Amino acid sequence: MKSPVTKIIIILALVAASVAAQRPAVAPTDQFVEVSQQAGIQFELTSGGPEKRYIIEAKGGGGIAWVDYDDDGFPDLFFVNGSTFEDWRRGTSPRSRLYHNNGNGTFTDVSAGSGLDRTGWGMGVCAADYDNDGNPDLHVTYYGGNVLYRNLGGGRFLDVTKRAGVPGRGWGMGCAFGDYDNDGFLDLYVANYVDVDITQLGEPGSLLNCTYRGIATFCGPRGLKGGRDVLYHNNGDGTFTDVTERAGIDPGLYFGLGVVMGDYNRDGRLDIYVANDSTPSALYQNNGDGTFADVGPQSGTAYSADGQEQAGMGVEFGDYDNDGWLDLVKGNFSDDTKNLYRNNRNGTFTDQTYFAGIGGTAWLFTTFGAEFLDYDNDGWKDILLANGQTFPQMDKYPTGITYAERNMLFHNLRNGKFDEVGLRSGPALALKKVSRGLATADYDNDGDLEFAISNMNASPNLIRHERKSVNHSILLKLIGTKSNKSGIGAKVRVVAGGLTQFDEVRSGGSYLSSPDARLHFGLGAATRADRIEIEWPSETREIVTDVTTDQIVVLKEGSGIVGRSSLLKPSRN
Amino acid sequence: MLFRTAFRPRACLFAILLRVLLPCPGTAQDAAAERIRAAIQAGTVDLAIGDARQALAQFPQSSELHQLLGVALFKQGLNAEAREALRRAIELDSKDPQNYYNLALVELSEKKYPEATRLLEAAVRLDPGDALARVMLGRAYHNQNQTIPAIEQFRQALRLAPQLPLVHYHLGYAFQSQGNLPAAIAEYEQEIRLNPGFFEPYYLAGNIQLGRGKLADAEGLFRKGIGLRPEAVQTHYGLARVLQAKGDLAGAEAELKRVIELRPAHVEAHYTLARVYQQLDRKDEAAREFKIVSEIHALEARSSSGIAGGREP
Repeated sequence: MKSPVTKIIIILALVAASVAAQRPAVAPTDQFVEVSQQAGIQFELTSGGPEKRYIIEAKGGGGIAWVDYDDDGFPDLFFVNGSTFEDWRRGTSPRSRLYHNNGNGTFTDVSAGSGLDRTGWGMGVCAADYDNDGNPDLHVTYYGGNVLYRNLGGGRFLDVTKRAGVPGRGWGMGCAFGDYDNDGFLDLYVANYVDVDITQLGEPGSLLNCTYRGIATFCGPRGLKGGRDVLYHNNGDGTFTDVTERAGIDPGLYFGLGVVMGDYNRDGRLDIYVANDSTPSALYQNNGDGTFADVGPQSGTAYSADGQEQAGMGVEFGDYDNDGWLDLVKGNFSDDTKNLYRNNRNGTFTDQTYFAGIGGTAWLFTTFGAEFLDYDNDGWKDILLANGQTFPQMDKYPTGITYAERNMLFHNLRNGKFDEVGLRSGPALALKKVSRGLATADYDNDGDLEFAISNMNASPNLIRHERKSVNHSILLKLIGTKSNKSGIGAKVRVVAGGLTQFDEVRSGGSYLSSPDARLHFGLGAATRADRIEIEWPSETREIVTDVTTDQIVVLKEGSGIVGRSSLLKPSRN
Repeated sequence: MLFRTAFRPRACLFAILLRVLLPCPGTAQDAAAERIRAAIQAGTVDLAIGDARQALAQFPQSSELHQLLGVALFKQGLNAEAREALRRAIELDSKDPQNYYNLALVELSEKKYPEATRLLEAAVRLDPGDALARVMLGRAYHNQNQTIPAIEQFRQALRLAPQLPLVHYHLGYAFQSQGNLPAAIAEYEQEIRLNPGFFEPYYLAGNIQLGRGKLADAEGLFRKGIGLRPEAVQTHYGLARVLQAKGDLAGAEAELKRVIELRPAHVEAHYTLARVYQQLDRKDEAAREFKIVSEIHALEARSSSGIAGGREP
């Protein structure tokens, strides 16, 4: 650290200190509590030893997926597990876990007998129905080869990796399903991190690339060779083709972590954003001919606002300013800004992090999970950041940076600015852990969003509303027919109470995680949605009007509303 | 760095009282010390060193003379000898905080922060009211990833000497490195009021105001900074970003070219220039600048820590 002044001069004048005016805080009404134990979740994320001497121990995994694998209307929960060097070498790595949502606030571990048997050093997960059979499938990334589980129904999964042709290579991290060519079948993007033999990693402090702030830490990712991301095209017959080279993906071998797909330029084709660690992040603009162009630098999303490379981790698309265009939020390392990129609607973005009030507040935090979510159902997307350092060594120094960190909740003030309300939002957000994966869902179907967060070498947080606002909301489940069955890539506009909101159905995103595929819209005081407009990936356009709020609405491509059920009353609130 | 060699009257009441009648054993030593001190202050360091050595031949047990010799040697760039003299001064008088303080400055000049810290902690222990030692201790802490104790030292220094300049600047910088921007800007504003000719707070405060979207405030700060130090890149770059935000793209381009002229590998300027060219629809020039950005980053990555973070405010 530099402290540049070297000269002390005595001057007699002194003007009394002025205190910078603080913006009045918005008192949040919503309060959150951590309920994982009472919900029956016994999972613990294994990720190396406590010292984090090597990069694989420190970065996670920690992928989480909300997936309603049994189609009972309640999203279930899948946790990816990691390993230790000892277990990994012996082939005794702990298993990932699938928890069935019992619909009453509790979960049951249904891993045994599910077929989700692969062990190894697991990282991330994405969920979607790649074979359009009506059952959402799981793709899980690992160091040393990924796994595609086909959901057979009845709580059974089958490892179809080999047959499907998606073995992965190297060190898989984030993944996302999306139909980039709009052929009705979901393709798959897998971010790869570094191309290394984890038994041959350097010792902490052994090189400049093995330090942080002059402190000896694990080596990398700088100084290591990047792994090339992979794009798989779904052939529609249960198999995929690796089209990475032809599509022009990741020729720079960047250190890929978080992945999210979205149509940022509204041309009807899914684009791909990859949060790369310590290299430029990539925005792959879909050219519509099976190729992509990395427009990260030109779009303003490759670097910080002033052109600096950042340690991109989790990332999410969302329309936080309700202008109908997808913006981006991205987590980065400590001593750096996180990114809130506002879509300028002309192919470029502007980093609004400081203007939004996030820049200074999150400066010292290391953000992995990052999500847009309208937690208070006011119709404006807020931001949740899951934080945790990678270097336990930081605890030896009183820098203000700690290994375990609290997570942060930024309330959208509707003027482009946010107010960090985490410490005023109940005990769950005051917990300090080393968080990684983050995924949202209304798991109790009561109309407001909860979230699951994975924590290094610890149990996860399952966080639900203890007290919530009285605002209304609606959950939309989309079923494609001509389009992919999961409805991924479908664009939804909801008009209610004079406000138009926009979102897309996604798989993947945040940090190595996958949210509930249902779209959640907070509607404020409105008791009816005047209009719901859906643009399916097939280009089919549907509009339904005058929809009562506080419902879960099922929309089928070509058929409109095919099911609805009332949101459950929050019995515990 | 400011060495302190203040006159320290010894217990010579007997000699003072009987100055005319009896020679005081301290008088000649004090006189030598005063001469050396004056020579140091006048910048005639060679003279001071010679004088000090001569005096020490006569008064080898004088901590003060060893201290003055150490100061003079350090001013001459003879750090090893200075360190030796100052250590001897401590051996002879371990209760004099000044000895620790001056040796700490030698260590600080060589970025030996742990050593400097130990010495400054001793100085502050012996003289808790020494604001300057607290400032230096704060700086030493800050340079060793100990920002929180650094802030405490800066605060204590201000409590002891509210008019001491540059402390608000240091405190502001420490706050900014914690992400506490409201506190940082309050300190920078204080520093500017107290010390308007000092450059750094202008661009640091300007950057904060720019981030907040307070363009007029930011522009004023950057322009004042340029007035103070026309060749500094930070303020030209800041002004360029203000002008870009205001839509004065030609003005932004001119300022960015000035930055690049002053520092060709200024990656932020190349990046911002690329984005300005984009806005001006000068695509080829934008592409060229983006390419330069990529090349600079590739070079930097080879000589950086393992992860992109750890940026200064």
